[in-house]
Amino acid sequence: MLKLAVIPGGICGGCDVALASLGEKLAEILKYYEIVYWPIAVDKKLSNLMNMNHIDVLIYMGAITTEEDAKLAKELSAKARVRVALGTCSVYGGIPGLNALYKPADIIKTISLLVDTKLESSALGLPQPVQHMAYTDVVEPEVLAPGCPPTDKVLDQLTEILLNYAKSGKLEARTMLLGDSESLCNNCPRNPKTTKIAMPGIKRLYEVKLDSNKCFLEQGVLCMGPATRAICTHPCIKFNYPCIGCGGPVEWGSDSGLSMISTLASVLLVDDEKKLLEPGLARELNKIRDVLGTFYKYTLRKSKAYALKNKAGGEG
Amino acid sequence: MSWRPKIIAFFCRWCAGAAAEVAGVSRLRYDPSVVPIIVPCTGRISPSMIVEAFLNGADGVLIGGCHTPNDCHYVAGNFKAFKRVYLLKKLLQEVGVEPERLRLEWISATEAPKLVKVVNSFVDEIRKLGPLGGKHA
Amino acid sequence: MCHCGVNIAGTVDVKKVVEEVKKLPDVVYAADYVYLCSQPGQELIINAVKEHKLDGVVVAACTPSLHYETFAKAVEKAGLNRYVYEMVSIREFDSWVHADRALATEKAIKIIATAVAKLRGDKPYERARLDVIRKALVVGGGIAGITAALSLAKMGIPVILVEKYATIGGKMAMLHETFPTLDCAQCILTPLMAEVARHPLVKIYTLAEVDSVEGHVGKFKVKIKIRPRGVRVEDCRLCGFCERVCPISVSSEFDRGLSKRKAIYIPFAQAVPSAYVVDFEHCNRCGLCVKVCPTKAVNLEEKERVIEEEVGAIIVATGYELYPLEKIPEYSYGPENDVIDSLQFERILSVQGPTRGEVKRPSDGKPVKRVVFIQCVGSRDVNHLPYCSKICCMYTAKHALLFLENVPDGEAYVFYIDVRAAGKGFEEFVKRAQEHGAVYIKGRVSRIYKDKLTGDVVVEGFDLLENREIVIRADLAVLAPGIVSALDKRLAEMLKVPVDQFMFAAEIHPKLRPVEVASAGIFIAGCVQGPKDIPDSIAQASAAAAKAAELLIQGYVEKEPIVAEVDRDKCNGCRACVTVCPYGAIEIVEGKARVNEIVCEGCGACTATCPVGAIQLRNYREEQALEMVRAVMRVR
Repeated sequence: MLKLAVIPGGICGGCDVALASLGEKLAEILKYYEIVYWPIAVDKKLSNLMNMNHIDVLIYMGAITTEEDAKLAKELSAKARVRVALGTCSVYGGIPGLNALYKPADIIKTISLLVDTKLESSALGLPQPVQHMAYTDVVEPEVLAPGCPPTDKVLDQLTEILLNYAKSGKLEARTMLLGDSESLCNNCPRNPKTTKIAMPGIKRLYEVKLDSNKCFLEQGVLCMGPATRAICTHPCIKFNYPCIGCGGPVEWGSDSGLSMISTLASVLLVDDEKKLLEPGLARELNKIRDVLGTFYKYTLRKSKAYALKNKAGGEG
Repeated sequence: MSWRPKIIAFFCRWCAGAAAEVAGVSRLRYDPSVVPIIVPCTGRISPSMIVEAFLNGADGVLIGGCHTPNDCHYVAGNFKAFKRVYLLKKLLQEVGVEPERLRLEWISATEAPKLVKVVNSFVDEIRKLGPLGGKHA
Repeated sequence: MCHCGVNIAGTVDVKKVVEEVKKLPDVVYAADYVYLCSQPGQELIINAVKEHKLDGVVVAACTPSLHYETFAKAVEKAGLNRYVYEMVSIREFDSWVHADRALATEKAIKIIATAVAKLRGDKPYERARLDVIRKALVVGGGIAGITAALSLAKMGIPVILVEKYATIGGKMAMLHETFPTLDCAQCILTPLMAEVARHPLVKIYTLAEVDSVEGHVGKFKVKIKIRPRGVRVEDCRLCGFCERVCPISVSSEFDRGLSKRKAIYIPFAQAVPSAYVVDFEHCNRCGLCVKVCPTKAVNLEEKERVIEEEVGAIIVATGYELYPLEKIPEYSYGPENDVIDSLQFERILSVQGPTRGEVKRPSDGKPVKRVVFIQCVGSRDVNHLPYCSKICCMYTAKHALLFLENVPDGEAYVFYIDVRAAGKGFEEFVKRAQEHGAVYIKGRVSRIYKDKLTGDVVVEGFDLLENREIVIRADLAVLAPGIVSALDKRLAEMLKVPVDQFMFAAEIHPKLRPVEVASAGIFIAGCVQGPKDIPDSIAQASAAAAKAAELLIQGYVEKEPIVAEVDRDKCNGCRACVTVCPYGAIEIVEGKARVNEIVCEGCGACTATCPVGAIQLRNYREEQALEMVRAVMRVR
């Protein structure tokens, strides 16, 4: 039996549920693996895990938000033969990764304004926050399985990898980014008929009655689909909700936020550029109030924008 | 002051680039801190190119293109640049980089004096802002 | 690297630059020379390439616009492809604009570093040479189209002239006399119509419209839909028997509703082609015309047909229409109200027109003694057309003058905003109309209506100069409606002609390239580009013909290979590149983008746009651009 450890970091629980929902496939995996740690699923002690000499497969879920997270991630990963970053937080920092813009102390200070408990004191035994980061900022995992939560497509691929590894003891590649290496526009169920995307301005969802057969961008609604990796089968888009980019960039290491900014700039009011004077154009662009939150909702921590933030003055 | 800013200037081939040639032929003088990179059109400039410049140590990025609405040699590349730069400036602000470190100017092929003015004023502005990140490189 | 005498070497430490450049990645050879553009300088490059088996060359000298070609030839002579050579300016961009030797030297190194970085990603490409079909299509048979077609034909180029109506001649054929010389329009136009019809290289299709266009510059496949004429042109003897027996009478388009014509008719006597035409919309198929035709030329069974032509260039000369006056109800437009438009007035003035040249009221035939002309009807009006229609000031002056000459005891009033008479002999012409007694009133007209009791046309306006309201009771009011483009959206899209919001074709550069549009091989002439008078239309048509001939006579287009290319494995068919391409060079084929290399101009807007990096401008790929940026920063 191979040893499988599932380590949660700063997590919402979605990844746990997704992994548990594997159901029969999980049972198949358990023919080869023993779960040596997974807080929500099995009753195993962390101390035992820490004492183990090696772990075969480590699945890390969530972002790294505390010293404890960081320590576990580092120490346990060192013992693991295969490291899996599961979920967008683990791969790209996810939503918690947006916190990387602020110093941990400032985050605590902000939270203090909202709750009564005194948070600064370590006397409570509260974990100490660190600059929020992705699991991939600590180690270079062999398997990257993004998704918020990870989709069936990604989990099926992961299952396949785990089973193959159990049988062969080998991985197909040094780094594997799961999902399909294309953006969501490929095979988009909206299957647009027009040849151009003339984005008629920027609209919020409540401002427009969405045509469920028409490209979101053509209706003025920002959709991250063009720059987002196809880790899913378009559930949001089928539900008439635009992609917000949880799949991350199409290629590992590229920056979907900058790509999407460029694409958006190209198609926005493309037929009216000359009619509008610059303030008119600017007015539309100003409707994007929060550039980072819009284009980097899930991927800020691994982006060039974050690197620039560090360059500009570290934390703060 | 011994610190000299490092500035990359993307000039389009047809307008700002041509103006820079005229500036040369006219022997106008401007600050040598600016290194020009000629692009076919400002519409070719991707946000990555600009961010890459900052990440690799540039203190400022200047973009010179053809006047809107009608001067662009490739019809409307300048508008694409305008929109990209506008959004990028907002992004810069959010990550704590002064948006003034990125400037877009329309400079026609005949406006060599404007080019000189723009370059010099941009260098002055970056000098005032100091090095990106506050550390002397 | 070149010294350019002291032009570069005087400011830049050339030796130091060469030493530093040698340290750049992949640089195996670097040298300097006093005048690199000289014969020995070029030899130096050629020998270095051969001796060191170089696979790329950077020349740092003056500006590429001066000597790019010189060194490209040298590089080719050395056996390399010209696209693995980069030239950067360290003279205009450096030594000539800086005085500090150390800083200028450092900058030179940085500039050269960008070129080296770019060169490392450059690949060799071959120029494509594309045969051009030596044949042109002219869309629109008005004065602009006729001029362009004739001009091309006289240069030996076969021309297809497509006209929507039953005759060529366009709006000009309707005119009486033309400003400022008062030549009779028919007298100067009909010889041209006859000439173009006679010319062996011109093939005219009337009642025809462009149905589809495929292909690109040099080879457009055009389908032309031809409506049935019902009369064989070559057999029609113009005897007019058919017209006399035809029982159907409808209003005449040529006289703009001021007279009647039959369902088999000839638009006007000098129509080209010179033959009758059946109005199938109104014809009741009684067959009388078929019976009386002595040459059996009438065929009521004729069907619509579609023909296909291949041409190398297309000239669009679709002309104009008048602004629809129904949109200005306060002016009560309508011949029954004796409120007519300027083209109707042309017909009234014409000796071939509905009144044989006598100025009579359309409603009751009463001779007109007092007429009011209103300019800028729809034009220069934010509620209608914001632009100036350019020709109305002049033709209104002409109308007033001709009226006063025709009716010596008549009175003519002209409402105007400004009199715009910029043109040779134009100001003098307006003066002449005024000296003949035309009364010019600066101001706008608020209302026009027909007084049912007296039969007068009442024009209420405001005289700005006297600051008072003014009411004129007249026999006739003539409106000068704005000029609108006759180009329809479908045709514009088929031809990929960019248009402005008023459907006027957008030229590629308003000053330098006034008859070309962004899609290569398409040219514009006449009012399709904007309102203009006859001399301007003819000048532009001649220019369009000359530009088309440049292309067609050369016989081929040589295409720079520096165009965008698509990695079809990466492309997701999101269409952003299609949207951003100003030339319509990209289309989605089987779900992925495909670049038409002939049409692409290499601006690279698509490369910056693509969200997944699938479309790349050759030799200016994204990775090259990033490397250029990094290279500058690496130099210390």
